[in-house]
Amino acid sequence: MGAYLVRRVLVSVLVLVLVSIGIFWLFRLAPGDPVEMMLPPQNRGPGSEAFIAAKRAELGLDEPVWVQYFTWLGNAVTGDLGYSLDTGRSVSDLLGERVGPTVYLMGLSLLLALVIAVPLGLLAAVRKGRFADYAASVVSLGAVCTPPFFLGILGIYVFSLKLGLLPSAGMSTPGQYSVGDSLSHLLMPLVILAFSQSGQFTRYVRSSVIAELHADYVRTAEAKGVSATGVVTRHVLRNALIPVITIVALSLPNVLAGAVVIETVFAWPGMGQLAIASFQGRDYPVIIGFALFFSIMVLLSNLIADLLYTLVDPRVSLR
Amino acid sequence: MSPLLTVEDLAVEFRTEDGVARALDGVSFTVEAGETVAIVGESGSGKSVTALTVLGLLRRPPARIVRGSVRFRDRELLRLSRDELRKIRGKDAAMVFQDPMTALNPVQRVGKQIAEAIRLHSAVSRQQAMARAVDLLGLVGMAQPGTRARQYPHEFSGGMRQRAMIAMAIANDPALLIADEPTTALDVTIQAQVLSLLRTAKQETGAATVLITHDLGVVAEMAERVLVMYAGRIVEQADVRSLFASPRHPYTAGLLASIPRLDVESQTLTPIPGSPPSLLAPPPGCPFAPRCALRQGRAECVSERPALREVDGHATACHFAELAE
Amino acid sequence: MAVRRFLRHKLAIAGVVVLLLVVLATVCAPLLTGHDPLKVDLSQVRQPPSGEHLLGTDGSGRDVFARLLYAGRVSLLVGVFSALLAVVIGSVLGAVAGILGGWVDALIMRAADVFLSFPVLVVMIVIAGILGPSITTMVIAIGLFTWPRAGRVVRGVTLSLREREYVQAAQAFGARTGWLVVHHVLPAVLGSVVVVATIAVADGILIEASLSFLGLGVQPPQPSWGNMLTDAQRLTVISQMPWLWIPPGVAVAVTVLSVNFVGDGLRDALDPRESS
Ligand SMILES: Nc1ncnc2c1ncn2[C@@H]1O[C@H](COP(=O)(O)OP(=O)(O)OP(=O)(O)O)[C@@H](O)[C@H]1O
Ligand code: SF4
Ligand SMILES: [Mg+2]
Repeated sequence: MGAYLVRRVLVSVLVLVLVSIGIFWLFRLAPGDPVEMMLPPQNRGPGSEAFIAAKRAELGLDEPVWVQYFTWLGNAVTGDLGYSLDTGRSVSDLLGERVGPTVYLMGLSLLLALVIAVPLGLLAAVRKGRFADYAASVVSLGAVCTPPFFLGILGIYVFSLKLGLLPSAGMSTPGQYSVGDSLSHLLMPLVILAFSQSGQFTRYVRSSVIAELHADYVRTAEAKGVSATGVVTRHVLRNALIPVITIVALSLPNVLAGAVVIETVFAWPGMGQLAIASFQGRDYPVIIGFALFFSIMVLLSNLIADLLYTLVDPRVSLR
Repeated sequence: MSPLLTVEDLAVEFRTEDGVARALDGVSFTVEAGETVAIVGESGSGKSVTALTVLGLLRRPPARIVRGSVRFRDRELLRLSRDELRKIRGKDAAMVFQDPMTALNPVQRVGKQIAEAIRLHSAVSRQQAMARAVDLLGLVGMAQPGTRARQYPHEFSGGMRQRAMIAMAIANDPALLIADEPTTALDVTIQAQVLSLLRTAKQETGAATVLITHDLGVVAEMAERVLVMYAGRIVEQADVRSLFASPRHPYTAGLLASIPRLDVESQTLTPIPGSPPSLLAPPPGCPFAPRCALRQGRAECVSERPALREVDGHATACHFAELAE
Repeated sequence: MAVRRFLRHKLAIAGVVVLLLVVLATVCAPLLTGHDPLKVDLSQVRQPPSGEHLLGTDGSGRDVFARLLYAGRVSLLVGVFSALLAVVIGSVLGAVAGILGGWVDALIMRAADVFLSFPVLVVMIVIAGILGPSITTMVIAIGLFTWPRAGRVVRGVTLSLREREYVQAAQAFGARTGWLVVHHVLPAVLGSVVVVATIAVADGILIEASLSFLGLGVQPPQPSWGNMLTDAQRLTVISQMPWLWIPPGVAVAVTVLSVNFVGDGLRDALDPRESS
């Protein structure tokens, strides 16, 4: 078990290093260098040249590129991601306070997506070719094909503006904290994000269950006298969910990307909203911090997928 | 007393992309309590479909039972509800499948799978069922059954999995045990062990056994009576000795001639030339006619379908059975 | 045979019809509307739909119907070109991985996993945030981060081909890899690649919509289905001017749905083994 995991972790670290080189390179491509940006041309006077040179030396910008890279990487590893050009606050602090709301939204919607997708996919598979199957595939295809932000806007139009039932922005009404209030804020982003994800999951569950229904052990179970329901719940489901679990873990980055969009629509104070705001303000340090954070998330979810797979499938041993 | 199992005029079709395949066309036979009957025939002749139909395990669609009757202990199985059938399956009538590598649930411990078979048909606790499962694993010759019960199928060899399958099948002392090519997927050395285990199982439970096989050697060793199937029909039926000694259908004769024999110098196999007819559009007359050595151009063979009739104590479906060697 | 299987697929036919209508409408935009999608007319700001402006006008008095049609061109082209790029990269890498095998295969497939796990949206936040958004960047980013699907399919087919005797014989004759790809791999994978490409077009259109909605893709004043919805982040626009945001949203959904139907139909027709 150990050796396998160590190898996977090493590969992930290698990928992370490559990604960080990519990000650093992009950063270098950015128009203007940080010092020049500190000092707009119209403010320059006689002493400016000397100041710029001194500042460059102080920031290490006159070092060779690879030295700069390692300095930057060293800082990043120790949690020093620089300061926001916009607010002047530390990027790690900024990211840190946004992680919570995003994880909260993502985690719950992932859960809800599965709660929708597993029964729906199962039903579609068991009733393959019949009405329930078509209905399920219409629903899941609709979820896959409709842009989630459009659903979000539609939701705001109907439930916030026309019916006045649900708030359209934020995690809570300022100064008015209550469980009901935060639930009502959560409801729309949660359901829409979950629904968008559930389409893909439903299709996976369906095809996985259909494949398993043809397996030989199903007939063995029937020959024992297991009922149709028992065959599905006690034998097929677990086998069918093994590949699905991996796919769900692998799609974590996609759920996060979906959250970026939904957070923007509902002004949800998470990572996504921060990322879009920093893109709009060309707040490079924050963008880069977000990119690094996201890359780590991606590699972690790949590792989780591997781990889960080995945990749920007795045939795969980690040796 | 009526036989344990009576199959009468069974006809089964499969709807496929290319048309309707008549997998079974008028199959009739009986199995008496406690006896061992072998079903032999080439691949695709309908052996498995027969077994699956008897136990109600056919997938419908694509299969469709056109006509016929299956009476087990004087109950018509084809007319039972799903639930009634379920109570019989695995209890009074059990089955062992061909491929032990895939027939067990890969993510469930073997002991639990056997215990499930027990708990489905008798009101015992989880612990009692598990204890019985361990006993059964011991009975089928598994060393350290307690440990084995807690393992997953992938930790078993092919022969061990087939033992587990047999343990599962005899868990409820069935009156009928159908084994569909139980040794085909196994190594030759393991085959003998599994066969002798089947014999033990039979002694243990007294179950009538239907043994489906390609292997006439296995038939000679295990069975009392033989059914020979060809293109969805039974073409000959007789007790083992007389079938081997004097087949009364040219197809059986051909099968027997294709067995490699140790006592004969020649090593050449003589398989029957040609291949079985398409089940999609069965020709009128005898399905074996295109390959038959006995026919010698006789028109009757292609115009009229030979019915099963009695010749020298055999049932045979050949117009010229009297001439067969 | 394949054609007949496709025609039997009612939804696929419906998809083809709708798609043709959409393509035709965008191509013939000048015939369908006299309005210039870019022309600002401050006397006609925020007009509700009327005979003159079928879908009303936006905050700068531009005709929404005209914008919708011209936006379709951009959105469809982004979908098609990003899919093409993805399929070309994927086919080449997939074929190379399948034919060469060994560590090359392992490396390419590993890279495929990594690329696939980075959503284009996030990649574009970083790229557009640093280099600035543009259509070209977006198309390249979509192609670059969605090639693994095509790559996996092509690799799979190639691997199964490698087992076949005639390919082995050709290899024994010293056939070059390039020759093998052209003469054996390409014909064999064509069906599956067409299916993957179709789905990739649908994905491309969806990704474009999200990116442009967030300002990461097509930049105004040039209209795209995605950026036409950008304005709908303001509550007044959402509540008072539904004609601004409902049509482009529906256009994306309907187009993507049709492309998916066509893709499913093609899969059944060209690749019956994999049909659902
Ligand atoms: N699922 C199915 N779909 C379509 N046709 C089938 C199916 N199962 C069986 N058949 C048809 O039924 C015929 C008999 O099949 P069966 O499995 O009973 O043969 P068999 O005698 O058991 O052969 P084998 O020795 O290979 O196991 C086949 O020739 C085939 O045409
Ligand atoms: S009926 Fe005719 S063709 Fe059929 S087995 Fe007998 S002799 Fe041969
Ligand atoms: Mg069989």
